[in-house]
Amino acid sequence: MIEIHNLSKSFKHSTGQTEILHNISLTIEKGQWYTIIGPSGTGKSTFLNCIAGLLKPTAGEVLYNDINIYQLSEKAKSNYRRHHIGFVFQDFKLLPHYSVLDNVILPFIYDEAKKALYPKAMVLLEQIGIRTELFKRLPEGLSGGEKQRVAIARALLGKPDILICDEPTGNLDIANRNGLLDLLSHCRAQGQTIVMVTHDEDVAKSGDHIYKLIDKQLVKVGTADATFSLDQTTS
Amino acid sequence: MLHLVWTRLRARKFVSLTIILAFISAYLLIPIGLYYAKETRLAVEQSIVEHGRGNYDLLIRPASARSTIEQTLGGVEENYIGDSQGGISIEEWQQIKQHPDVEVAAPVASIGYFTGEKFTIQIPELDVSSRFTFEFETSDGLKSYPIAPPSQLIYFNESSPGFIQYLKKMTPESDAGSFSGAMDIFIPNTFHLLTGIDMKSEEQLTNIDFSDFNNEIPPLVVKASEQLFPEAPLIKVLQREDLRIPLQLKVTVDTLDINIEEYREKLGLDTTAWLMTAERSIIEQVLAEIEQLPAQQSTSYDIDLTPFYKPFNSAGLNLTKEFELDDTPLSVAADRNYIAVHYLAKKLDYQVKDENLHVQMVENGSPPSYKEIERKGKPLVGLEQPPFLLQQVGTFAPNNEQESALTSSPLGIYGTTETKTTTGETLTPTTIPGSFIAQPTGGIISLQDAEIIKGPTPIDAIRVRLAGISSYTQEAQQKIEALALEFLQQGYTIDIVAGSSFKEVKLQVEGIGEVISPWTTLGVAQQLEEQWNSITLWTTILFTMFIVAWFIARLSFEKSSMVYEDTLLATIGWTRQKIFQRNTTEQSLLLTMAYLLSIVIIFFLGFTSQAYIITTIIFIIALSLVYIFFSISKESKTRTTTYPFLQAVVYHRQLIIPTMLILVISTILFVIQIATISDAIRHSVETTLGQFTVNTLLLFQIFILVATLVLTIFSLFECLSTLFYARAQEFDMYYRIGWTKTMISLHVVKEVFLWTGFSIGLGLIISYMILFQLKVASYWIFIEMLCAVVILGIVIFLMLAVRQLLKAKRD
Repeated sequence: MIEIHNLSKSFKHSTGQTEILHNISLTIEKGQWYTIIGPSGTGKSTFLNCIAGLLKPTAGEVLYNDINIYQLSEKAKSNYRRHHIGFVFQDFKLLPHYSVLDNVILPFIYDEAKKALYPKAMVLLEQIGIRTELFKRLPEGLSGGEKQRVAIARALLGKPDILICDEPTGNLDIANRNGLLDLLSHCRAQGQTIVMVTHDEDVAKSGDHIYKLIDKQLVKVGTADATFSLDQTTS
Repeated sequence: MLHLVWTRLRARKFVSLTIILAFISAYLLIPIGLYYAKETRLAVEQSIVEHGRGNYDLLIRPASARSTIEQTLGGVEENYIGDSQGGISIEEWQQIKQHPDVEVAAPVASIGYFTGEKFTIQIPELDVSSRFTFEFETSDGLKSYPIAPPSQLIYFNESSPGFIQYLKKMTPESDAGSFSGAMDIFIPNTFHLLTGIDMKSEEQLTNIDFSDFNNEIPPLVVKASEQLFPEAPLIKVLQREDLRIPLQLKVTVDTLDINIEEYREKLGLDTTAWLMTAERSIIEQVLAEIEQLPAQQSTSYDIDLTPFYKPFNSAGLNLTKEFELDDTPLSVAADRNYIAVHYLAKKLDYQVKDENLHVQMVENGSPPSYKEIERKGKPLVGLEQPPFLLQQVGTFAPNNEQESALTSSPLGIYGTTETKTTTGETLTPTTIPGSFIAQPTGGIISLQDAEIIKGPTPIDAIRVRLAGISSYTQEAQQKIEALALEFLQQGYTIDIVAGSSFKEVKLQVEGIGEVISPWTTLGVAQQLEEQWNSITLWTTILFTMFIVAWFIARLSFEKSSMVYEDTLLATIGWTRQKIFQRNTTEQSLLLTMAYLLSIVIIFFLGFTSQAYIITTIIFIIALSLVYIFFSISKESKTRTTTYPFLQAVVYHRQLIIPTMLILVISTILFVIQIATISDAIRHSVETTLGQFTVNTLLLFQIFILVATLVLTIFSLFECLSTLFYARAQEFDMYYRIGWTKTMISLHVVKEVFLWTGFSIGLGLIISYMILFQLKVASYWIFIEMLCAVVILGIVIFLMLAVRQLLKAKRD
C-alpha cells in the first residue's frame, strides 16, 4: 500500500543542517497495524508527516499504490490526505468553536455532498460511543477520552485506507486508552491500516509490527505474535 | 522577568513591530493632527481677518428692495441699484450718517440712462471726390449690432478754395436738422447711466477723486441757459474718464468720377453756391442717384470710438486723412435736444427653470434688450421749460484695484467685475439701457441734483462702513451685526457685506448662451469659519475617539491572547502578581520603545515643545490604561453548547470585536472627514474668499486624512496578525486534515469579510446618519461607498499579505 524507499529528512537551521531520518525503507501493508516507538525528538512525528504528504523528504520517496506522493500536485496531495489518510493527534485538535458534529464533518465541510455526510457522521459517533446529546456540544464540554473519540470519528469519516495516529493515547487515562486501542483494533479488523507513534510500550504492543526509531533509522523490534524485548533491541 | 518578556517580544517580532509602529503613529499623529487642526482654525481665521473686509460693511436699501432672485441665491448682484426706483430720502441718509458707529455712509441714486450731448465727428477732405458710407455699431462682447441705419455723405473735390462741397441727407434723428461748413456726422443716440452721489462720502469710501465737481459751469453756458430756459436748473455732471462702452464706426470710402458742375446744375445752384443750400428734396434725389454710381476705388476703415466717446462731454472728434481718430476737431456741432430725456431700466428678470437661472430678451432689437425700459422727460425742442439741464464740468476715474480680489463689496456703479461666457469671452455693456451687462455709471451728479430729477427719495442704496473696525475679527463681526439689526428695525433692507465674497453664478442668457456672472455672496466669511471650525471639531473628536478605541481594543485582544499563557504560568506556580507584572512589563516595554523613537522623530521633525508634551501625556495615559486594564480580572465561564451562527467569529469575539470597533470608528472617521471636507470645499470654492481658504488648508486636511488611514492600516494589520497568531494551530489542522491552501485562505477570507463587511456597513450607516444630521448633500453617499471600497481594498490587501505569510511559513 505504502512503500517508503530510502527516506531521509534533514532540517536546515542557522548553524547548519540536522538530519532526523536517514535512509529509511519500509513497506506498509493494507490492514496491518504499525507502531513506532522512540524517545522524544527522535523524529517519529517527522516520519508520520513524511508519509502523510505534509513534509517532503530530503531524499528518497514515499509511494502510495505505486504513486510517489511528492510528485503529486498540491491539490492531489490534499485529496490524498482527505480521502486516503485519517489523522489522529495527541491533543485532539478539535476546533473549540464548532460542535462535535461539525468537527467530525470538518475535512469535508466544503464538499458538495456535505449534507449527506451528517447522518453518516452521527452513526459513526454513536458507533464509537459518543452519546447523541453530545453531538451539538462544544468540545470544551467533553472528557479527554470523548474528545479523542471525536477526533477518531473525524479521521474515519472519509473511510481512509490509513489511519495515522500521533501519540493518540498521550492525554488519556488507562480506561480511555484501552477503549481507544479497542477502537483502533476494530478499525484494523475492518481492513484499515494503522500507523501509530507512541511512547507507551504497552500501547505499542497492540500493533502487528512494532518499530523503534533509533539513530535516524527504523528498527523492527517485534510483531504481534512474537514481541521482542524492547530493551534488548535498543542496544 | 525582562528576559522572558524580551524573548516573547522577539518570538512575536512581526506582531511586536506592528504594535511599535502603530504606537509611533499614535504618538506622532495626535500632536501633529492637533497642531494642524489648530493651524486650520488659525489659517481660516487669519484669511478672514486679513481678507474678509471690503470697501464697506453694510448695504442699506429701502424696504422690500431685495429681489426674489437675491433671496434665492443669498447674494447681491454687482449692479444692485439697477431699477432706479429710489426710496431713501436725503434726510434719512443724513440720520444714518450721523450714527456714532458709522464712519462712512455713501449714498447712491441711480438717475437713469441719458444720451448726454450728441456731437459730431469731423470727416477729412480728400483729394478726390468720394462717397462716404457710415455704419455705427455696438457690441455685447460676442456679436456686433448696428445702432443706426447706414448714412452717406458725398464729397465733391474742387480745385478752387471756398466752401467744402458735400451733400448729405438731413434727418432730425441723425443730425438735428442742422449742418455746418465743415464736413461732419453726428454720432447716433447712445445711452449712459447717470448716478447721484455724495461726493465727500463717496471719496471717503472709494478714494476716487471727485474734486472736478468744484469746477464752475462756464459763464457763457450759464448765460445761454438763463436766456433760453431761465427756470431750468443747470446740473453739474462729472464725466467718467475711462468709460468703455463699445462703439465702432465703419467707414467705406468710394472714390467717384463726378463733376461738381454737373451736380450744381442738377441741384439748381449757380457756380458759386454751396451745395448744401439746395432744396432738401432735390438733395435727396441727387443723393439717390449718386448712391448708384460705381466706385472707382473702394476702401473700408474700422474705427474704434470706445476710448474717445464721452457722452456728457461735447468736445467732438476728428477723423484724419489717414482715418485715425483724435479729439481735436476744427469744428464741433452739438445737439442738446435730448439732454433731459432719460430712460429707467428695470432689473433683469431672472427666471428659474429646471434648476437653472434664465434671462430672456425683452426685445430682440439691435442690440437686444434684456430689461424693461421706461422713458422719462421730453426733448427740448417745443418745450417751454425743461425740468433740468445737464452740463459737464469735469471728469473722474475710479481705481479698479482698490478692492481685494477675495472679497466683494459691490459699489454698484463702477462695474469692477467681469461677466464671461463659459467659453471665456468677456461680455460688455451695449449702448442701450436694456443691455444685459449693466453699464457702469458714465456720469456723476450730486445727491441734491438727483433729488431734482428723481424726487424726494432719490437714494437707492447706502453703503456703510463702520467706525472703529480695522479688520474682520469676531468682535468686528458682532459690532456689524448689531448695527445691521438696528437699521433693520428701522425698516431698511440690510445686507452684511463684510465677510462676503464673489460667487460665480451660471445663467442661461437668451441670444448669448451660458454666462458666468460674479455675484456677491453674503456672510461667506462667517459661514467659512463655522464650516471649518466644525470640520476641525469633528476631526479632533473622531481622531481622539479612534485612538482611544484603537488602544483599548489592542489591549483587549492582547489580554485575550495571553489567557492561555497566563493559565499555564499560574499552573506552574506563578503568583497572580508575577503574571500581572509580566504582562504589564511587556506592554510597557512596547510603549516605551515606541515613545523613545517618537521623541527622536519629533526632534528631527523640529516640532515645538508642545509636541513633546502631548506625546508624553499620551505615553503616561497609555501606561496608566495598561496597568488598569491588566489589573481587571474576570472569571470566564466555560461554554459547552454551540453558538447558533458564525461559530468561529463568536468564539473569537474577544479578538474580533475590538477589531470591529476600530473598523466601525475608522469607517465613520473616513466617511465623515472626507464628506465634510469635500462638502466644505465644494461650498468654499464657490467664492473667491473660500477658494483662497481651501488653497491654504487643503494640505493640512489631507495630511490628517492620510494620518488616519496610516493608523487604521497599522491597527488592522496588528489586529489581524494577532488573530492569525492565535489561530495558527487551527489553520495548521485544516491543512493536516486535507484542506488545500486555497480552501484555507478562502475560509479565512470569507470569515474576515463577514465581520469586516458588517463593521464597515455599520460604520457607513452611522456616518450616513451623522452626515444627514449635518445636512451634507446626499450624493456624498457615493463618497461613502468609495470609502468602503477603499477600506475593503485595504482589508483584501492585508488578507492577501497574511495569506502569503502563512504560505511562506508553511513552505
